[in-house]
Amino acid sequence: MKKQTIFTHIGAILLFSALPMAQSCKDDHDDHDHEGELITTVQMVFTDSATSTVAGTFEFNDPDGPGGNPPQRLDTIDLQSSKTYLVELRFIDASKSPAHDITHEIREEAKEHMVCFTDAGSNVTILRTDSDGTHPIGLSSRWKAPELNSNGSVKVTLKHQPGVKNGQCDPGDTDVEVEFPVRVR
Amino acid sequence: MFQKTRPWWLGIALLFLLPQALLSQKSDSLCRLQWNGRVLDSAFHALEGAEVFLEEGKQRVFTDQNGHFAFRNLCRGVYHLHVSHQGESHADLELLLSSDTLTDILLSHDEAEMGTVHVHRLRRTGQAGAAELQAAAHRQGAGALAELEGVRLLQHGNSISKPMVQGMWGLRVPVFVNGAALEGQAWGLEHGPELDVLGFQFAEVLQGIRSLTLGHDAIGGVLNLRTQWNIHAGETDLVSQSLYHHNGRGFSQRLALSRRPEGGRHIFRVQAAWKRAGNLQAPAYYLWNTGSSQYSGSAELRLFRKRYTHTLGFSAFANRNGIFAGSHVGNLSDLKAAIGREKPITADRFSYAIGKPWQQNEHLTWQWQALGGSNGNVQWQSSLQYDRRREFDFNRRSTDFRPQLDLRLWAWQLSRQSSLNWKNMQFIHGWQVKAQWQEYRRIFLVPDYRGLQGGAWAMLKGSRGTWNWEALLRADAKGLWIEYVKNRQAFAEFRPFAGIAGGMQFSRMHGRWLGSYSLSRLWRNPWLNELYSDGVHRGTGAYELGNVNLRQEAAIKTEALWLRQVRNSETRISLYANRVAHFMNLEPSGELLLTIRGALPLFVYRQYDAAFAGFTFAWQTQLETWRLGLRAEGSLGRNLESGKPVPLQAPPEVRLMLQRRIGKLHFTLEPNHVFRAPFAGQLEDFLPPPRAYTLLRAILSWKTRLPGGHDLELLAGGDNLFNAAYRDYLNRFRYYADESGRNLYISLRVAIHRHDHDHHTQP
Repeated sequence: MKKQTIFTHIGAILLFSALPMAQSCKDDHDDHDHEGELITTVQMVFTDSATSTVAGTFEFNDPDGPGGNPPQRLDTIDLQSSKTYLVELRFIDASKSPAHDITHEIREEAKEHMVCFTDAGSNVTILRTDSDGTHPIGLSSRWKAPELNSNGSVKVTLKHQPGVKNGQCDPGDTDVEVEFPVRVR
Repeated sequence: MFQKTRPWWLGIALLFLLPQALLSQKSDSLCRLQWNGRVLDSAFHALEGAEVFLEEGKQRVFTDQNGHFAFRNLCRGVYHLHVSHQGESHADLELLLSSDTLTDILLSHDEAEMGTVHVHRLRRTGQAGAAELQAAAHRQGAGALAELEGVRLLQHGNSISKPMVQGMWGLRVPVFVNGAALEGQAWGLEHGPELDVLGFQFAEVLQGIRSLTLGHDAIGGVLNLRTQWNIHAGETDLVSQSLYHHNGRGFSQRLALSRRPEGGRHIFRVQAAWKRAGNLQAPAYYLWNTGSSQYSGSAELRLFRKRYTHTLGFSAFANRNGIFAGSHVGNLSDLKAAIGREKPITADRFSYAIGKPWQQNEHLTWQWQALGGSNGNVQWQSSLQYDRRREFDFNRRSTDFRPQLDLRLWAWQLSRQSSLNWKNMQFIHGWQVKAQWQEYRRIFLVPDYRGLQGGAWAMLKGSRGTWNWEALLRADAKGLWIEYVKNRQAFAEFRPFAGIAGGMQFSRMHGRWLGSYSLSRLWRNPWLNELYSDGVHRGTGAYELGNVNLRQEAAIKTEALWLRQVRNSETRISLYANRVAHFMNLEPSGELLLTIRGALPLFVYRQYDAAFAGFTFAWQTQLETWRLGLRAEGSLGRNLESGKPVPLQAPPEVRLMLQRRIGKLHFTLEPNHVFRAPFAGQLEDFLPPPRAYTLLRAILSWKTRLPGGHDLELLAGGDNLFNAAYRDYLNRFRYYADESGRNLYISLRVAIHRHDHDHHTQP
């Protein structure tokens, strides 16, 4: 009886210990990638609102993401004075092959995201033209260049605001923040 | 590296071989030792008539009217004592007896049962000293460890905390569970120990050279947790403990079943616990996404055999901790904006939901221990552990539940320890081997590695008159095979490490006082995060960069303890001064790194010589139905190269304790004051150290015996009773929000005891 009891106990321990093992083995074959979510590239496509022709594409590109090698490309945005442009923003993960466009995911989760534009000396007037139904998103915008020549910059910030989006730029954390030099002639 | 240390290896070999040859003949001439002690109740009253049973030699005595007991003519070695009083309460004690020893044993029902940590500070002479009990079930995570003298908590939010001893944390304060090193991600500031502290009945801080028997790198000290086996033959115990705390609306349930059949040849115990809490509340707002859940369970079997007592165990632990949403920042601008806000921009309401970001851990342990041998002086221990840590960050797809960080670790260890006696000396020696295998998935934080390490140690102990001395030497070697893929490039390298550690300790016990002094040398190799970190740490809005050129740390530790017992009072003063050469620390570089996320402050792992010093003063006295206590602690660290303080040193703290017993009621009032961190203002930081704060805790407990010999205990208490708004310097989330406010809690514990004998005699 006593031996039998001991073996029952040992059996219980083994059974008890085998259950979580089975659980831990079950997902052993899931994603074996060494990748995480990354945005490496910000692309801005400017269309002349009067002619509907593409006026220029400007880009910031850091293929290996934060750290490692320095950014490879930071374009200066050249605008013509007094002109109005329709701007489409794209966020791309170029660390993968092929590159992965994340823009549509941001649009799908528009209630958690907002693009903020901060002008510093360029005097460009920027108006976000898309909406999540309540607040603007900022993936599409209208840029009105000033009448006079100017040199400055526009900071483009993609804010991630799950649960706290209120139309302001304060809440949430920053996924992307790039300061593009701007020249108006 | 190995060539350089060869003379040390020869020294170790000689140390092993010579005493083995000398000690091959067993000597009984030493069997003149005494083990004296007192048995006290939880109010520190002497217990008369307590049964004290010495397992080795099967001696049984009863305490006198002053609670005293004595065993004489004992040989040096490991002894196990079982203490019980009127069949109601029990305590187990294990002691390595090397000299005449005086032990105070605090006996209470709490001590024997789950849900309570029996707080016990090991004397550097190896004596079991006075103990104190603390009900700590309402504390989150590893928070119960803060009740230990000398232990402070380094926090990452409200539910993740890790112990800090002598200004050190992480790998410098390893945690041991029933003799096995807990294998997890101890290196990270935001990683708490992967265990349920309340599943153990005994916690202690090992200091001095005794910590060297467990490893070479415990520069701060070793935290040792143990389960206790205190159940009589023919007894079955079922214990249930339920707890509710109002801040976070948390509740927990713990069940434990122990059984020792007639004949007492084995003990079987199963235990399970479940905890759940929602958003905690600071005095002025809720802390969004600070909920947590935890599951733990264990099954253990202890077999008493002729030569060895075997213990087989399995334990499982899983938890999920929400990370305060207001701490999730992207860059320096966000961090500055968050710091500037009086109230975080997060949802301000209660919820049990744990959303992103969260941290999830699973830990499994299989363990075997054997204690015995021909003279009862051999101990084997082996364990296999699996640890998985996942971090789920915000990401674009809210339906995507893949973790951003996924670390899996397997670790196996085997150790042996034995002792031999010769004249006035005892020779104890042991060895340990360990293998680790870890891989990461998803984003890069630390590389994959395989590790193999081995170490051996030898200790000589002796005594002369009222003096005791101990000397220890150990040698360790390890190899790490490291692999990782970064920027689509594969890297592989091998890193060997080796070193010598050792120390000596002198103590003197004279009348009612005891003094001891120890000097030891320890070393620690740089770990993977210190060598290879290279990425954005979203929790702190910083970029962390490792340094592959870091060298081994080497620490010289000096510790002194003075203890005096006069009638019902005890005073303890302990001092330490440590010098650490090549101290490794993550520090701000003063540079901003321009990234696609904007400007991030760059933190780099630096190395410099540093010195640390600190003190603990503790006093307590018993006056009839009153008990008074005072505890003060302080520590400082200084970079010897720049003259600046070392960051994250615990500010001084003073704690008072006033306890009154009225019949079955115990009322405790405990104010504590934490000072502003001295000198921390000289450091580069995002925010100056927070101001000093004072908190008040009150606990009311009531115990009674139910018909049938069962026990019932009700406890009601409150922390931060004045609902003070404060921030703690040791909490990394102090940049974003206040600490949680008032917390009221109530717990009910029911213990059902069934004796086979009673059962059989019932009609």
